[in-house]
Amino acid sequence: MATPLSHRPRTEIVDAQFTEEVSRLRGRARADLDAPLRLRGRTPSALTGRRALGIFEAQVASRMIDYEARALRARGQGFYTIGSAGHEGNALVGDLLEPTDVCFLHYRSGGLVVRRMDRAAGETPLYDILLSLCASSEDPVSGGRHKVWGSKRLWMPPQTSTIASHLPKAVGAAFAQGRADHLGVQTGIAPDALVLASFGDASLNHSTAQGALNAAAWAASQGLPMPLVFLCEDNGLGISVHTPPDWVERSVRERYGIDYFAADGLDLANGWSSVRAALEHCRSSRRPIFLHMRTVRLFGHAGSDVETAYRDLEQITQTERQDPLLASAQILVESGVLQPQEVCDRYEELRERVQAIAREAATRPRHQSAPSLMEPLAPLRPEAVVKEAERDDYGDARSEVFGGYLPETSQRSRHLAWHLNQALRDLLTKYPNAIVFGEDVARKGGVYHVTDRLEADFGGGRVFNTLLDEQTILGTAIGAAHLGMLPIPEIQFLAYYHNAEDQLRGEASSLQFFSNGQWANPMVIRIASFGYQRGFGGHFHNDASIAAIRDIPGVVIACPSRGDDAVGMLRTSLALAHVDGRVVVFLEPIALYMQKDLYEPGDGGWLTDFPPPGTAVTMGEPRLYPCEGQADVLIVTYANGVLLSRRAARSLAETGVHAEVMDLRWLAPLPTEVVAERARAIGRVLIVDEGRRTGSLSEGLICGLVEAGLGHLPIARVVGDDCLIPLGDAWEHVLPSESSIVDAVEQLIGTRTSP
Amino acid sequence: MTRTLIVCPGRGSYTSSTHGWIGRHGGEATEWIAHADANRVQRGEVPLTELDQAERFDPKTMLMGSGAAGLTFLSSACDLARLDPKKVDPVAVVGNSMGWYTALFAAGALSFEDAHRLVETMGGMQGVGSGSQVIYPLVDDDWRSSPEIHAKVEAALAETGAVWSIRLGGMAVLAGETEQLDELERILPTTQLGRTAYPYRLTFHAAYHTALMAEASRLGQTHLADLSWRTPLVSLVDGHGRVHRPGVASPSQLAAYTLGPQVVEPYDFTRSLTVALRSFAPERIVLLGPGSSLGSAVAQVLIAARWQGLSSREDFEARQASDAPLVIALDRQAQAARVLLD
Repeated sequence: MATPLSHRPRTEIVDAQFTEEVSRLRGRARADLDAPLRLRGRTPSALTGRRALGIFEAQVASRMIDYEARALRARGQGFYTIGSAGHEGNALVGDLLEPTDVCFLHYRSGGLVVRRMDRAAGETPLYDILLSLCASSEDPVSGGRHKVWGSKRLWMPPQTSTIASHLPKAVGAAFAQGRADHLGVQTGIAPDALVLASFGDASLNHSTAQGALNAAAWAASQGLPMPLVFLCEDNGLGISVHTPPDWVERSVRERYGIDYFAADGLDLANGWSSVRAALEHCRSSRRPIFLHMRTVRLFGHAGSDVETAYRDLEQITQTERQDPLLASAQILVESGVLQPQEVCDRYEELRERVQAIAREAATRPRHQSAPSLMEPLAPLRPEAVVKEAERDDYGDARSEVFGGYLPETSQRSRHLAWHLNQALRDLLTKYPNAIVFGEDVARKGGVYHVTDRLEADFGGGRVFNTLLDEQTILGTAIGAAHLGMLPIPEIQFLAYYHNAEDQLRGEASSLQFFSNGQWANPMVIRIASFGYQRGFGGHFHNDASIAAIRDIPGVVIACPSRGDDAVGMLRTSLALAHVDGRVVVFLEPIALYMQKDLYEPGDGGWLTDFPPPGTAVTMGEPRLYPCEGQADVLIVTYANGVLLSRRAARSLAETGVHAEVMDLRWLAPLPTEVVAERARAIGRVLIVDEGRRTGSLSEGLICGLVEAGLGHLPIARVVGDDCLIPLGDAWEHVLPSESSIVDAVEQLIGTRTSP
Repeated sequence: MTRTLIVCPGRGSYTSSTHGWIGRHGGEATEWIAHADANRVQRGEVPLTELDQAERFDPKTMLMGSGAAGLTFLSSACDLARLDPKKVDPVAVVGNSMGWYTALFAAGALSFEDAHRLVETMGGMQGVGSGSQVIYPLVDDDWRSSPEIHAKVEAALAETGAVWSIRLGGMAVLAGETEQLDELERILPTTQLGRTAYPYRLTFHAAYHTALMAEASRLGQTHLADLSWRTPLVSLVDGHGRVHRPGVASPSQLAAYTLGPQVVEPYDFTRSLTVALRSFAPERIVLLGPGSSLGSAVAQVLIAARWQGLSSREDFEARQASDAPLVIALDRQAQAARVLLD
């Protein structure tokens, strides 16, 4: 029985429309394929017939993959149906990019990817894409972990890219491209290579897109090279929400610092000329451009999206009449490149080809276990990391940087901030590709002088201020790391991390996973953190919330509480980044930056000596402060809690209660085995966590103890209240204190009962 | 109609065991055979049919110079003519080494006359470049490979200055000056595969696909400047793994590759075939004659790619023995009937 016309899938209607419309075209005299296309009544294009044909084939192949994605889904063999249909105009861009232009692509990039790969030798784009649709572990991009566009060889680092979160890193990569020479970093890309990020009109509204445009323009307006193409593929729809007519153009066209270009993605001939002019401008001027490409969206947002639920049939069919494949076919026929029947034959040949490849791709293996899936997520070669952290073969360069005054020969013990400053100077010497940046880190030396004089010692090329936008700071780190730099960005306060956290969650932390370990964006992100600032700043400067960092798979969190530990831990953090490409978050307790004393004013008990090169603190190793004799209780803590707990331990010792204090130092992954081992030996555990009762590290620690079979032990915690930090002295009411720790220990061992 | 990949063998295929191929299988290609003979007579050379019909296979006359290349090319052409268009839907063509020239002809990028001239001109340049080739297996008798053996070969190349000539499935074809190859043979452990001991020197083969043939490339560009190159009618995959699509591939691009990089850069048959598999998903692979000596290399590539689930020699042989063999070698009558004219 025939299906009523209105209920036929739109894919079938558009598919049939192509053949019907092409068959109706009138053939023309055969053109010389090596000559530019000749089209009556149109602006001449330099595009040759052959090249046009190559682009058209990529467009058709992309469409056939879209059709096949739905067929695979229906057969239960494929798992992804968001397609590129209507956006095949991006094949024009794929045709004009150079092999080492860096591309961060959004999810409708089929035409671009197929055309770009077709132009390179030895590539198999159709098979690769179909493997990824089938989530096969042989997918050469992500190893079957996601349907992402990418290629190691052709400089297309993959990402899931649904919310324009890849634009800040594109800015970072373009920045690094302009800065690499200065640092002597071998990027692997051509000196005139450009960076391209694609996204849709709806994604332009994301703060990440707006922030990236702003950052690129900001940099360009200061004369910094920023060879970056913002490719906005405008189909006028964000799922069901219309983009107001002209919105994209009006909001971007006059933007200061960015050059606007328009290209018709539905017009093979003129669109190609426009794209070529735009890319040439970007390549030669090294300025950021906004390439606004007209596209349409066919078949809804994804396979599961029923477009008729929110658009009139008339609107839908009107869009379908603008099918770019049909438009390309008309141009090829009108210019005599192909006869109508040849167009149809090629169309069917590509359909059969894609279907045949899909049959093979569907049989390829998939992941069968967590270990194979997780393998690239958090690579760790512990011995190599220790060796790298302890590497001290840069003595000559070090002597030059430090002059006659090496920090380990200092006659005085010093506080945390001084150690961090010296350690950064040390590590910038050790790693010539390392860069330090963030707000106020340059001449001002940071809010707490941690980066004091680094700009003077290493120059503004390596130590520089950024604009006040944490998404840009982290995006710069990600992009620069892609091109071989070792970024050490600074976030000025922990609370400011939160507005940018997806740059870590969605982007930086996921790269090794979604690229099957082929790409990495190593970095060490320093964040001034935590409370106890004695009345300074209130909530925003005293934030202690690290839950949103802790739960990101693969991210290492380091948190020193004293100077010598900070030096050894920073060495290991850089080594983790250098050796295994890891993303490390380095939390620095602000209140301990200048802390000198441990117990009494003037005792200098919190000052330390600078550990000489060749030493480091191994990841996952807490520091223990043992007590005299057999311990009655283990106090597990970190950051400010260490100082408070040590003071509490001294008070308790005076009453005959012995407490061993453990400074975790590494907060992710949590060293649960060491904690459990000491807890088992001692028999009572108090967790002191300045984070909040809900969602703080303390929960994970208790969970670890219970899972280690220690749930029967007396375990208690002293934590921050579920409250924001108030202004003035009132913070004391909501955070752990020396006395609340003493009280809790006494309750735990029964020398005091609950009030 | 079955999606079919055509594979064209290289020069070493015409041997004593395939001697007489043209006479046996040339029934559908009489016109081409006549052309080929006439071309050679005009140049003062012995007609190929005479060589092919000689009572005995004479390595001296048949393996040296243009004869060997011409015999291989014409044998392959005879096989092309025997294919039944009702049974064979050619989706792509690949070739190994000199077989690339045959592939150009098979795909329609060169006429028979031009292809034959290309074959014999380039095949006759044995004396132009110095050096020769050595074959060494990367697999054992079960076609299993190991990273160790690859490492050994790479180390031996680094030590001697010899270079890759052809990546041929489980076989490495290496090339260099005579002294380099002498040294290479001393370094590489002797190994037996089938009845042959390796390393095995290909006495009559120059160091094709290496920089030692730069002069041959230059002469080829001069002597063959007037060939009429055309865009192929069927997709071609070259020795870099580049796909040349009908219409999209420009004749000048094919000419430049064929007389340039193809001669002086390594020919990666493994990659070429792998790309063809993954880009065209053929249901069947037809290996043109003479003979089927390229068959094991094809099988080794299939196994390395685990194509259609084949992961060992045993798998492959079982598949070949089934009623749907994947590779059809035209010298195996039972298999060949599936693709030949009735």
